[in-house]
Amino acid sequence: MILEVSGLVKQFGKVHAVNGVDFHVAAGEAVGLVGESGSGKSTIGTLVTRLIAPTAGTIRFDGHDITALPEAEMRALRAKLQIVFQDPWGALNPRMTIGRALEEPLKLHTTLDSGARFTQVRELAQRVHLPPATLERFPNELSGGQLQRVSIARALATQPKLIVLDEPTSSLDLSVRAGILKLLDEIRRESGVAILFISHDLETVELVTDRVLVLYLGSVVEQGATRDIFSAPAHPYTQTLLSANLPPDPDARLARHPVIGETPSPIDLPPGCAFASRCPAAIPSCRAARPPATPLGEAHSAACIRIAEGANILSS
Amino acid sequence: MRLLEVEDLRVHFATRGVDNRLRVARALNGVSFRMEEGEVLGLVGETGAGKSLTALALLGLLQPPAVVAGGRIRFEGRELAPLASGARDHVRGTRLTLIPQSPHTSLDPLTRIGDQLVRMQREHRSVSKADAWRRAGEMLAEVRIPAPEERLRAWPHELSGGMAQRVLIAMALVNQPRLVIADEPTTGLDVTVQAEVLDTLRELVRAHRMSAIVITHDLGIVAHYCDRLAVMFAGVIVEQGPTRAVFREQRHPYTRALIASTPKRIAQRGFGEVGGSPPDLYALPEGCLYRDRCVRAADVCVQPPPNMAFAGNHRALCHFAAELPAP
Repeated sequence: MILEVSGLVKQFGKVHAVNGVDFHVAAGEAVGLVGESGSGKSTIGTLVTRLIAPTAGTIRFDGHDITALPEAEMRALRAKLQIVFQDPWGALNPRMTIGRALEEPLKLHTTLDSGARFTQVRELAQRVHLPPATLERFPNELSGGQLQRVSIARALATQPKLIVLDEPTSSLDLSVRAGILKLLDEIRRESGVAILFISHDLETVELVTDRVLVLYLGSVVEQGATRDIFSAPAHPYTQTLLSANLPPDPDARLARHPVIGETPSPIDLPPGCAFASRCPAAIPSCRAARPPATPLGEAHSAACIRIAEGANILSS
Repeated sequence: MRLLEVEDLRVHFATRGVDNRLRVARALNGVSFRMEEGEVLGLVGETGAGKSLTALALLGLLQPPAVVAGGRIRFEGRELAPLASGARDHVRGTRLTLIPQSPHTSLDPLTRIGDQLVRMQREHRSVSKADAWRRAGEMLAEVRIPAPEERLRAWPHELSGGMAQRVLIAMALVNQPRLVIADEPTTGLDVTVQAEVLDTLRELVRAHRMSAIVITHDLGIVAHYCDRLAVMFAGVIVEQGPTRAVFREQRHPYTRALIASTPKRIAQRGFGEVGGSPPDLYALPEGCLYRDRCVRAADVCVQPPPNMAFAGNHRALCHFAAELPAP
């Protein structure tokens, strides 16, 4: 296991952002976190990279308990645990050339001399298909797609075991996005790095990941192999979410599930199932207690008491 | 009946760089399309393709340094000027309206929802405050806002993203326009909310026999909500036609590249030739503007591409549009 998270909780004041999440990422695996706004998916990304500290729970990375590791010790581990953010414009220092931005992690985490670093930087640029001339440029001279390639190259510089990618393609145009997805595919094949892929874009998650966790209001409502989740979603929320997706094909049949209202506030969380207020299959006991995860198959589970009692929820 | 006719619209931006040299960005390079009454047209393309700029020209909201270098717009048989003029324009705002992109920056934060809807009506026609208030309530009910009478007194910050977007739809439709332009109407909304908002918009357009232009980069929205589709690249419409026909035939290589870039298609057919940077609007090539990125490019592409026509007013600007095999 590269990453093991158990009982993860994060509160920002009164806001319950993450409410007891358990999951793991195996070496070389690509795991997706999907959910809508307020689901806590980005918060989980910043928690597992220890950019913020959790309120409760434990995070183990590569055998080390990093839940409360002091920053000095965390720094050494960060070489192996990298994060790429959605906004590539905000992620790079505007006064630093691309070459220097790529050299920074090598200065921090390796003992290479400047000549060896220079060689490595050129290799990194090549790996992400950036022309060598790009290294002399400043961020404002590059396109969004090129900048995201730089961010990925910088994450790769220290040969990480896990890269957290937080909506890495959401601000990019369609064809540029496809180029980044192709690059991620190449990188996984070449380096075997594990990926935690955070996104609201269902089709991208389906393409990129091996396993998926579906989040709603800070809780995992369903998890399993990507293939299983997308072909046979079990939780009413997952079914609703997938049914709202619009495939880019006019002949694709849509089977939309009704959905009531919008996501409730994460300040006053209901005691029972967080989705009960919008769920067409909800019964009074859904509101009584948090539903436990019901096993549905190999590594597939859904937190819904209606499934546990064998009710045919929405899929009929 | 013909509602809108845009012919060879050209818009440039002239700016001076730090070296004081005049630089011209050719942003729209001959946009032509027509809309019939009751039609929903999807306008797709990547950043900088000219989608929103086309909308601004239709709405008469272009401001200097934009320069109209040619072309004309006819709406309901009348000529419209693409550049903003000081004169109050009653066609725009009543007959032709906009649903803007970001709900929370497009509403006045210091005015209650009901008052904004009243202002929108009284700006353009003479109507009593009481009647306008009543109509505002009806409009909120039409866009399916629960408890509309109470919501009239709500402030914009009290609304969720989905609700604020519904209010913007109400604002755009309150004067009963014939054509409404929705600029990325659901960007930033959650998927489950997006579908509901789009359903509401489609029902209202149908019920009132309006037409709509939906500007989006989401091919899923176009596939399921638009009758016709126009694909823009570097300020021209490279392909347009009935949505099904364009998706099925993909006459222009750019349309094919765009559709092939969606994760669904990649999952089915793998990564093809993807990527390519957007064109430099300051230094566009002669002939076909797409040829530097085109996998099908040949010598003939230095010549301007012909506007090839196919069944159902399906058109593509490409030398090879007729011979492209159905993908």
